[in-house]
Amino acid sequence: MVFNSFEYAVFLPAVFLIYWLLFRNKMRVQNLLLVGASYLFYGWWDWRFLGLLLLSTSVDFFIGKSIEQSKNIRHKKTLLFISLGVNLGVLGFFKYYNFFIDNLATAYNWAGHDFNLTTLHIILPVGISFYTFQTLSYTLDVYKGKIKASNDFISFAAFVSFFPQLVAGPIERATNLLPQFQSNRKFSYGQSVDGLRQILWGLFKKVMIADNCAFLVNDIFKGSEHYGGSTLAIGAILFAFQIYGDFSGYSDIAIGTARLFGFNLMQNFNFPYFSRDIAEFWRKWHISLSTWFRDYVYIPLGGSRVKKARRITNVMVVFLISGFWHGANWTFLAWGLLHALMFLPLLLFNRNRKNLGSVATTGLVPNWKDLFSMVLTFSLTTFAWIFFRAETIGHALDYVRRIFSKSLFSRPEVMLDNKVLLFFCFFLVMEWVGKTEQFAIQKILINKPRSIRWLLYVGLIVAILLYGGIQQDFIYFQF
Amino acid sequence: MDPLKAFIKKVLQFCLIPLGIIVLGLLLPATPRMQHSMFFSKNLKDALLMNTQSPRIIFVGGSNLTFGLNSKMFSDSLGLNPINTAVDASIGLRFMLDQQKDKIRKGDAVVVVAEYSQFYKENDDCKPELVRSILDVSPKEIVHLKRAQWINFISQVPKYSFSKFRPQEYLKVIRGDIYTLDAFNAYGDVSAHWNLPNRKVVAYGARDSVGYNEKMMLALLEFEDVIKTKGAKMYVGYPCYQFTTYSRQKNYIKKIELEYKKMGFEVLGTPERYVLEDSLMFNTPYHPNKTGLDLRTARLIQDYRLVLNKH
Repeated sequence: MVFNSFEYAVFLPAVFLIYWLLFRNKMRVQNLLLVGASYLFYGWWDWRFLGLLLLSTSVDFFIGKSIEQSKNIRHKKTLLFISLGVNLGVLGFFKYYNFFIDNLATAYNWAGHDFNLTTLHIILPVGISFYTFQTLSYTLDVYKGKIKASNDFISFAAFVSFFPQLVAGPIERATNLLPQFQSNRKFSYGQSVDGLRQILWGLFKKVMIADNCAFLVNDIFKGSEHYGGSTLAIGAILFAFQIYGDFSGYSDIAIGTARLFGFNLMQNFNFPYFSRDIAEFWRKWHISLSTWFRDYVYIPLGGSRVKKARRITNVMVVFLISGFWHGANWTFLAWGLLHALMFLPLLLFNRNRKNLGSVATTGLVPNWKDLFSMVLTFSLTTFAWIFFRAETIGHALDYVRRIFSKSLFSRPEVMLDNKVLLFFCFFLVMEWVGKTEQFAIQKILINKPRSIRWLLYVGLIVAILLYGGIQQDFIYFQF
Repeated sequence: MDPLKAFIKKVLQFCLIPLGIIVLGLLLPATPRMQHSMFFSKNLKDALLMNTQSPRIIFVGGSNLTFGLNSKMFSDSLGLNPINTAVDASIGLRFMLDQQKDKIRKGDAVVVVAEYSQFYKENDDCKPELVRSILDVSPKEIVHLKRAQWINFISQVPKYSFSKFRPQEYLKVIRGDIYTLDAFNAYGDVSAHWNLPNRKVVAYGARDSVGYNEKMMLALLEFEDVIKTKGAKMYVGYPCYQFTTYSRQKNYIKKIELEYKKMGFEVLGTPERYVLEDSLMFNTPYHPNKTGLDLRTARLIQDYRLVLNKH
């Protein structure tokens, strides 16, 4: 089931009403309902993969308890490795098996040897990388003693499978989300209204921005050999907006939905395209994943307390793993590597924590220096997106080569519809004005009369319905 | 007041606004702009299907036929009575076929020319154009919607209703254009563009066979079975297609050609026969100009003759 579907429009109110009207103040029953609803939500794609979800949940629930009960360090370590082995094994098989076999075969053939293992026809379960990382964080935190192991299977299963963030995050930490499943939730009027607002803005970003870009982006990337440089450059820029609208839109809907049920999920995007350098971009883009890597990979490797050479290696490792997390393709590794290379100069000159706050908080417009930095950072990230979106490294290199040709200065062959462009401008203005909030329209018109606020919300709905793009799957589902 | 009840009340109050617009939009008749659009040519085409005498040759497809056929040439060279039922590809191949099933008679030759886009996965749903052509033009055709299309249909209704409140639906009524009701000739072909100079044609991008939708092929097979029982014969043709776009999508088109053969359809020609030079296209990679459509029709007549002679 996808958020921008008719099915979800029926599913969400139904679960909401049962949750609050029938099971109010019955925490365990509410959790059970959320588990049932989440399994229905996930099974809507392919019920066969529900077994994997249950396996991941069961393994980490029982291993978590055993780690806590064990007094022997070696025993604890063994249990942790079993959990890592099962979770990463399942993830590795479904996501990376064919990639490794393909590349091994290429390497063997290159060396003049035969290679007999063949690839398998494997369907990638939706969201497997997201829930695997979420359950892993639980086991790691129990092992480190940061959190007590859960004794309630239902609340733990609800934590792993919570439908708003099950298939595309935010990847929650057990320390934040699990306690919320273990305590009574109270209905909050303000939180729920805020949740609805965030859902609406998320839908606008997805349907209006991402889906309208998707049509052109797919066409341009698929037929890149036929287009001139200016069209290809537009394709890359539109993809930057598509992936932002798509993924941050999903996160907004997820966080907003969770709020309706009395949960607070972590912020996943903090207006990343207004960043002034790559380090700032990574503090604001897919925050739940980058902090996951910070906490469970970068810091255990020594973090920033080690010598510079080691720090550089650690940063490279984290960015490469982050790239590889997205998919079994060299293009994602190249994307990770590019970001590492763009980040390292900042690290070497100790400028990676220069831009910690939001840009232009005192005035309505940024100063020239900030504007230049933002444009430069956006251009660099857009350049890296080409590798992320391309089918192969060769495709990406060819795409880049074609951009930087004489035809870069020719008239683009395709462009967004004028009305959609107008909404694009509206979207950018809203994001800029609301950049200090959790989401753009959180506080917009908040002090104005209800009729004016509602006019904005009805306007957004009308825009979505009349000018929204053709429904597309969320990009991050494939990860 | 209990905050939950207050919240539900407020949400319901808010929903009344868009819901009211949706209901009002549904109750309003088709907008003047819509009434003059090509979608209303369906009434003309239904009348042709009712009144045209045998022997008949009926063309079913999307706008590659609407804009790309000179039916009179069929009448002159084969002595058949042509009926071009095509309107627009966006109503979907499945629906196009289903709505003609009841109107086919014994002895009819039915030439189905599906655009290649009909076999893309994302086209197997219910697009806004289909919703409009059902709710505005002929609501009784709603019975032809398949179960899988219903959810899409319902989810498109708000968009349909809201669109009735766009000012241009009332203020910018277009007449005498190539996409309007008066663009058609007596056979159901659009002839309004025959004397117009070419417009800008933007080629479509590449397509891979991953997006191929087998269900559409099965719908064709089912249609053939139905009309066979009525004593009619189905032929499958290829759309005329701009050369540049064809070169980009060659592999995908090959896949469709192979599937046609696999299904055992009586096929008229090959995709290559209907590839037209870019200069012969009028305004899209599927819409030829007069020279292009005459060439296309001539080739279709040749291929039809070839098939007849074979038997």
